[in-house]
Amino acid sequence: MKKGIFMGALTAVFALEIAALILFMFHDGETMQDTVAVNEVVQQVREDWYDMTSHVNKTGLDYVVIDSGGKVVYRTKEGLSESVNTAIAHRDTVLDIEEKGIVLGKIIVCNDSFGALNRYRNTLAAVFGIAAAVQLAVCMGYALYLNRVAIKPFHKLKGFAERVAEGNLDIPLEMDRHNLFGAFTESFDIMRTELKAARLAEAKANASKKELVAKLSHDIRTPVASIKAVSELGMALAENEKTRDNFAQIILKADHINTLVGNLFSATLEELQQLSVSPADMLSAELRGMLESADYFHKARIPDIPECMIYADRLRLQQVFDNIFANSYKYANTDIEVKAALYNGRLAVYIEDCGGGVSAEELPLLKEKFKRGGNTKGIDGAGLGLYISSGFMTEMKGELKIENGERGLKSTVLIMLSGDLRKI
Amino acid sequence: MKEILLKTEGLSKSFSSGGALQHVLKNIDLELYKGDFTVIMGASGAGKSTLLYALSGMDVPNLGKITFADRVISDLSSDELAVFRREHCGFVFQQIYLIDSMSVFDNVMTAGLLVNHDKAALIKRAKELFAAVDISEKTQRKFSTQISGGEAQRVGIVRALINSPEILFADEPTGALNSQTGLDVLNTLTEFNEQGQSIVMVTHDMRSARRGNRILYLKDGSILGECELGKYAPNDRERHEKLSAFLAEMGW
Repeated sequence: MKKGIFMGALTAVFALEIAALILFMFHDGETMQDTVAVNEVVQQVREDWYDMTSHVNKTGLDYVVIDSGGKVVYRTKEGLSESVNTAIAHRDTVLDIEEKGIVLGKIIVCNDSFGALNRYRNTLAAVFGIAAAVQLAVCMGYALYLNRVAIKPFHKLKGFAERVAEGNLDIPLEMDRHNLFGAFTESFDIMRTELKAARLAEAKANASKKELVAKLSHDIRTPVASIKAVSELGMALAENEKTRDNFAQIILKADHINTLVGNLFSATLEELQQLSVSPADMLSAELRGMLESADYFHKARIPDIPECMIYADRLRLQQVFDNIFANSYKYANTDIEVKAALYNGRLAVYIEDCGGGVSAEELPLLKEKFKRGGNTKGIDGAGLGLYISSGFMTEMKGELKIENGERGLKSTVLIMLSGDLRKI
Repeated sequence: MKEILLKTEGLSKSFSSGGALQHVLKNIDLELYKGDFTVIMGASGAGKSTLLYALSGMDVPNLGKITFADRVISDLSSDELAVFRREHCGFVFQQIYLIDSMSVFDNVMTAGLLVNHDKAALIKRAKELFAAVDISEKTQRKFSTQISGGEAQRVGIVRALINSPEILFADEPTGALNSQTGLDVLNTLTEFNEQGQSIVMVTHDMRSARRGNRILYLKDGSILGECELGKYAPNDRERHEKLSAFLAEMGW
């Protein structure tokens, strides 16, 4: 609808411009001169010819009278054409003054063709200037409109895709059916929820597999222990060397099975710890964009970050911020206060909501694996977010502190400054 | 208690190369003291020269604050910095950059006249300095292309000191000289330091580093460690061992 209005406005401006152009093309640009007044002047000059000092200009015209030798005998003002050649160049009107067939002299009536040309040019410039301004305004309006309906949503979509690529599937994509990407947005968000469901299912399947492995390893160890015990008894009671050797072999293999089962069990546990962190130097100014990206519901005002160079892993730090904001949205859903300051040789980012915090007993458990607070019923989550975030911060030689602030839960992300490695 | 001449807080400098930011100096907090012969050491690419240029106002840091005798210089415009450098700092470079078309004496006077318009006083100062670095009047009349590398570097020192700067910055001053002429230049610097001239010198040469009373070791854009050596004395074995042990600890 709006697109139609813009296109209509643009077409109207173009049509007006073309109309103006045609009008100007057919305008001859000549000045219209009052022929009656010119004739009157010629008549007057002829009458006063022999005494031009008494000649009075009774018309509004400007003119010069020259005799047959080219000498000026009268002029209404200075600066007019005073010879036939100049007159032709200036496109002035030149008329003979005749008496009884004899040419007495010439009268040059000023046409002001340059003035007329200038006025014509100014009008032309004004008309096209206004047209260009209107055109520009319409185009700018259209560009802003396009930016709002297409480019901004596209950037949002890009940020969303990046987060999905990083594996962060908790942040929904806001939908706006009025923009060009409305339908796409919905499909993308469906894709995210599907992906998240698939991942959860996978995690569940993995967890159950691990449980199975743990259970099986326990179950396997029990009969193996029995086999070993019986074999040891058998070996003690064996009457010949060959039987003893056979029992010894069985004991050896039983130990082997125990070791293999143990390896299998610890290998499944280690899978949990395989999230790598590679910190590097970066400018603290980048934190603003990261915090803004984490705060996708715009519940916080991001403050100025003290300028310094920090040592962190962009991807992991973003995950830490994402996790803190996502938790706050899920459990408190209030405005969030963010502050940043240099503290004890580190850059501290404080993030506090107004949700009243958690009970003192639960507080130390928040960063524990698979532990969730008492207010989490009906909200999905595995109780791993803060555990993993805290691990990331430790890997970056920083720290994640969770405490009850004045109004709600306060997370403090302490980031190490670059060049400070030797102080650790 | 030593008087602080130059102080940096959170000094950081990054360069953009091929679209990626390269962080050369990282949050450097440093105090340089009046009358010290401070030596900045470190491997190639550690950020020594970048630090020297930032300290001396030849380059502007990206982040952080530099205070020179209670005046913040990191916020100055490039024109203000140029005046600041001319009035308060002297520079000695590896390449000496004397003007070929001028005599040695005029090279020095040109630097002096930019700041001080009392020509008689300048000539007196120049003569004293030339005498101190052992450059004869005959040599002073020569063009800069007609003198040896060692002489040229000593002229470079005279030029750097003509305006009696509070601090002299030297970037590898012996880097382009042979062993003996390098030693002359180091002796000259040591003598001026003994007379109270504050010096900051960047070097990766241990023989040069021995002249300093305070050694800073730079690694990957931050100060890894520092060593207080006390006054220089030739053939001081204990001092030399202390420096060697410090550099070994730093991974030199």
